[in-house]
Order: sequence, then C-alpha cells, then structure tokens
Amino acid sequence: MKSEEEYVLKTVKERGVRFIQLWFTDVLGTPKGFSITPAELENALSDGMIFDGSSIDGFSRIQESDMLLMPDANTFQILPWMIENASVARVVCDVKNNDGSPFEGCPRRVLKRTLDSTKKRGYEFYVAPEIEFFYFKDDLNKPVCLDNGSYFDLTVSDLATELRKRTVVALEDMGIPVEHAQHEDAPSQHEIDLRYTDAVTMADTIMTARLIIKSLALQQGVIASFMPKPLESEQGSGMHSHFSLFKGDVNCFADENQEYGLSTLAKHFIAGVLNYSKEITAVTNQWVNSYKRLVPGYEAPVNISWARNNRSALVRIPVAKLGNSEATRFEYRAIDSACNPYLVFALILSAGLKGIDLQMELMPETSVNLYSQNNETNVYETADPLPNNLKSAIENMENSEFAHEVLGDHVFEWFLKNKKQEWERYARHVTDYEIGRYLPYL
Amino acid sequence: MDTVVTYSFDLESHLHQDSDLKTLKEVKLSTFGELIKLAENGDNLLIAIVNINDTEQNGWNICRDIYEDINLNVPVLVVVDAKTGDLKPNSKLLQNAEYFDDFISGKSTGVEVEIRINKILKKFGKQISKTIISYGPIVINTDTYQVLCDNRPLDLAYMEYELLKFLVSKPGKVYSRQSLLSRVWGYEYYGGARTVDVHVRRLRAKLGQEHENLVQTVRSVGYRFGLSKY
Repeated sequence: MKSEEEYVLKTVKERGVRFIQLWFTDVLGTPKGFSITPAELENALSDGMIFDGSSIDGFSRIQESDMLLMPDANTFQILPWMIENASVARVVCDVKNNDGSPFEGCPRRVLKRTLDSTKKRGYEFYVAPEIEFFYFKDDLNKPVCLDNGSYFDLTVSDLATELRKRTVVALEDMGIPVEHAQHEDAPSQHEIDLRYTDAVTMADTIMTARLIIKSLALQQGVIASFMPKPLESEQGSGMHSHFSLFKGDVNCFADENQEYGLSTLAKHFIAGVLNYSKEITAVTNQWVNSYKRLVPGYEAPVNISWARNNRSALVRIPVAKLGNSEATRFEYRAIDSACNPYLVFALILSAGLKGIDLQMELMPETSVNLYSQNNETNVYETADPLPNNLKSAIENMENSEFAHEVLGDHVFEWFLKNKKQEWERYARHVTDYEIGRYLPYL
Repeated sequence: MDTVVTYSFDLESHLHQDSDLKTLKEVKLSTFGELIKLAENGDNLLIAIVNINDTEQNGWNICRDIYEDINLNVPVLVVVDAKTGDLKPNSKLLQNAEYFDDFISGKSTGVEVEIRINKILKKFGKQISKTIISYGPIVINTDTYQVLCDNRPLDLAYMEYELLKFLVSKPGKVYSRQSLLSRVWGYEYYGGARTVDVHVRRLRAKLGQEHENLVQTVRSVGYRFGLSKY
C-alpha cells in the first residue's frame, strides 16, 4: 500500500471519521459526490468505486454508464465545518473508465493532461483566484440582498460579515490560505482571494471553497450565489485569476531589464492568451447569464486588450514591487465565479504555451479607460470585442482547433452540444422584459 | 511508548548529535520500584542502563531484581565508573556477571555506547521505534499519523503531514525550498519549489496564529522549524 493511502486509513481510524465523501466535478463545474463508510475506504483507495456515470452532466453515454471513481489520497481532508454532527472527510477523485483507463470526460483529467505536458517542458504553472459572490436571503425566486442597497440594516450586514469571517476560518482550517477577504462594491457582494497554488490543487480548492461558502451560508439560512450577474444594475461576480509560470525558483515572467518588467516569454504567453481569448470565452463564461456581466460600465472586460494599471482590460499586469520578481504575473479578468476551473485553467495555460511556441507578438498596451469611454475615444471600434453572448461564444469555440485539442473530443463535443441546447432554450423563452415592454404597445 | 530507563547515567551526553537513540525517552529513576511500575503501565521498557557504584549495593540489587523477574524481558547495561572499572580480579563486576548483559565504562565514547545498546537490543529482539517526534507544542505519532498541537488534533493532508514530520524531526536547521522538495516530495507533483511555500502556508494556517511562527521563513534561503541554534 502506498504511504499516503496508509495515512488516510489510519487517520480515518484515529479521528473517528464516520463518512468519507468522494468528490468529483462534472463537465459544467458542478460539484458531485457520494459518501462511503470507512469499511469501504481501503477498497476504494486501491480499486476505486463504481458509480453510474450516465446521470452526470458530460460523462458517459448510456451504453457505457458504469464508471470508476479513483480517490486521490493526497487530497484527503477532514471537513472541519461538519465536525459537530459526525466526523466527515472528503477526498477528491479522478474519474476513470470501467477498465481503469483515464476517462477523457473528466475535467480534472483534462487539466492534468495539460499540466503533464507543461511539466515535461520544465514549467510549473501557478494560479491565484479572486472569488466574488453574493449573499442573498433564502428566496430562490428573486435575489434579495442581505444589506439591501441604501437600507443599511446593521444586524443583517453583521451577519454577512460574520459569515465571511467564519468562511475564512473554515478555509484556513482546511489548509486553504486566504490572501484577503472583503466586502465588494455591490451590496451583499463579497470577495475571497486565495493564495496561489499549482493549477490542479487550485481547481480542487475552488470547488472546495464554493462548497464551504455555500454550506456555511445555508447553516445561517442565507444563500450564497456565484451567479455571474444576479443584479442588473450592480457589478457581477467575476473570478479574476492571477497566473504565473515558474522554472524552479525562477519566475519565467519576470525580467527587470525589460519594459514593464515582463520577460519576452511572458509577452508571448500573454499574446497567446489574448489570441485565443475569443475561442475560450464559452468556457470562461459558460452561462447565458455570464454575458450580462460582460457589459460596459461594470468593471468587466468587453474587449481583447491588456494594460498595467487599468482594471478595464481583459488582461491586467499588476505592477510588481521593485525587486520582487516572484510576484510578476498577469491577471485574466473575464472568468466568472460560475466556471469550471479545471477546464478554464487548462485552456489559459495551453493558450499561453501556444503563444510561446508560435512566438506571438503582444499587442500594444491599452492606456485609455475602456469603461469610461465616451464619444471622443472610439475604443470599441478599434479593440477587438469579446463574444457578447453565449451564442457568439459557442460559434467562436466551435471553429477552434485549439480548444478542441486542449479539451479533447469528448469534452469539446459534449460541451458544445450542451451549450447550444442552453442557448436554444433561452432564445425561445419569452422574458418578463419583453412582456413589460411590448405587451402594452404592440 | 518505548522507554529506556537509566539509573543516574546521562545517556544523552554520551550520544552523538544525530543518534537514533535520542528518540528514546529517557527516564531517570531512583528506585527499582518505580521502574517495575512503569513496565506494568504498559510502557514498553526497552533497556535498563544501571550505574554501578562499587561502594553501594543498590545498583547491583536493581540488576538482580530485573534478572530475577521472569515477567521482565529487559536487557541490563551496566555502567561502571572509572575507578572501579579497572576490572580487578575481585571486582564485583565479575561476581554479579549473571545479572547484566553487557557493561560500559563511564568514560565510554558515544560510538561505543551506541553500538553496545544496539547490539543488546538486537539480541533481545527489540527495536528502537521512532514513533513519537515532538517539538514544543507539536507531538507527532508516526505510527498512527496523529498530530497534536497543544493537545488538539491537527487534521493535515498527507503532504502537509510529511512536511511537518520532516521539519519537526530536524528543528533549528535551515532547508532550502529545493532541498525540502527533493527530501519530502520526491515524486509526482505539479508544482515546483513554490509548492513548498504553498504547503508551508497551509501548515501555518492550520497551526493557527499562536504557533504559525514555528515554521520560520529564512529570507532568500528557505525555511527553518523551531528556534535557531545560533
């Protein structure tokens, strides 16, 4: 037995763990899982657990519904916020085919495959996300803020602060260091920034963080939502993510002798990301609602552009402190909090590596503020726009050999099919907006 | 827990720095009664090291009692002090030879002490098990993988556990990220040297504010656990 498996088994025994949750993620980034008892754990660690994959979004076709969940013993962790009831632990799993071969529809597999090839080239890829979300009152029909706009209710806003505080403590108990947590611009909106880790760990961590945020809120009768744009006239919830590429101790993005402190490699990488940004938007922003966030005026990117100290660009290069070359990185600002982080990270990393391979030229920096653009600056006419709805994003992705190659046949085809269906359902839907606007007049 | 019983003999000072024997818990006892009690309490009595003073009978009584107790399967190592250690023909050492398994002179070097202890243990089918590692508020049982911090169990992920175990067993030493990576990880991982930073942060988060400074950052070198030796 591997020592990490022995570690898991002994810990379960010593700590009196009653249930072990096996976690995995479907193609749309929804957390999935089921619980097993300690008696089944040893078997699960060595041989995996069989489950019916036909009911999981983006997994098997009906005729091959039996799939295997292989726990990744390194991810074993007792869930601190559940300890009051009975000790429960989780372990993140890889999805395999019944014969034990890797399943191409497993998002974690897609990311690992990308990272494997990156590792062969000697690179390590690090990610640090800023997760934005809203706390709403327990009403699934409409979003009601806890601190409701101008009505500044001290007690309920205390609840949100208290919740955020508890969430940070629970995250830290899980070994997820939080860089900082704050109330965001919109009422009831909050942000939790995580410290960087490697991409697989971070994708696992994001799934964990979402679950902790939602669970702790629910315990207080509050709904935590990662919906990209729940309130029309407020900012949406993004997941701006910071990326860097290292070789051992050396940050490959940093070069203090060059313009902006960016290495040539960094410029190629960012050029690659910008180059493929249209083709990956269907994944970074995968819902109909995602595109209600990517509109002018709400600090969300709408154009393919980059800048240093301008938060309106798609890619921002935060100015690193002098002499701190470790912190040189870029921030991709389109991603929203409701994405599948495994697929998003795989695509961004691959896009950057393509940029390096093809020595892509970085476009000039956008220095004007794209948000406050007025009639004098026709930025929108000069800068290439991102897809502005799900349909356009799907079309961009459909023609992308790049996305196809990174995601693999299975995920690529299933994802497009699923997203087309989503768009068609939305397109047919007669909205309240139309009734209100047209019924009286037409 | 493995226990070594010494009778007024400073084992620690006779061992060299990195000796495995240092993981033995040293218990100094003044009477044999306490020694028996310790064994009955379930502690695995590993070896009795008895200091002999030729002018007193006490030490020899202890050796005989251990020898005659059929429930005790404990090797006895006798330490003779320099004056009586010259092995005269009428030495009590010779008279009491059946009550002990080996002897060393009080002036023995660390190497000699270690070799003799290890040889005796081997003959008795005993092993030094290094199951408990501790430093300050941290206690690690490497047999059960339990980690306590201020008597509160810490729930660590496997690599966090491995890193902490490594650091706690080598306090005061500075390790570079690269050397931690190769010593602690040394297998498939997706991160590089920064993975070490990530895990150190995770450990600190779990140790809590009170103890997070146990793992210290040594600027532009790496990390050190516990206090500096210097």
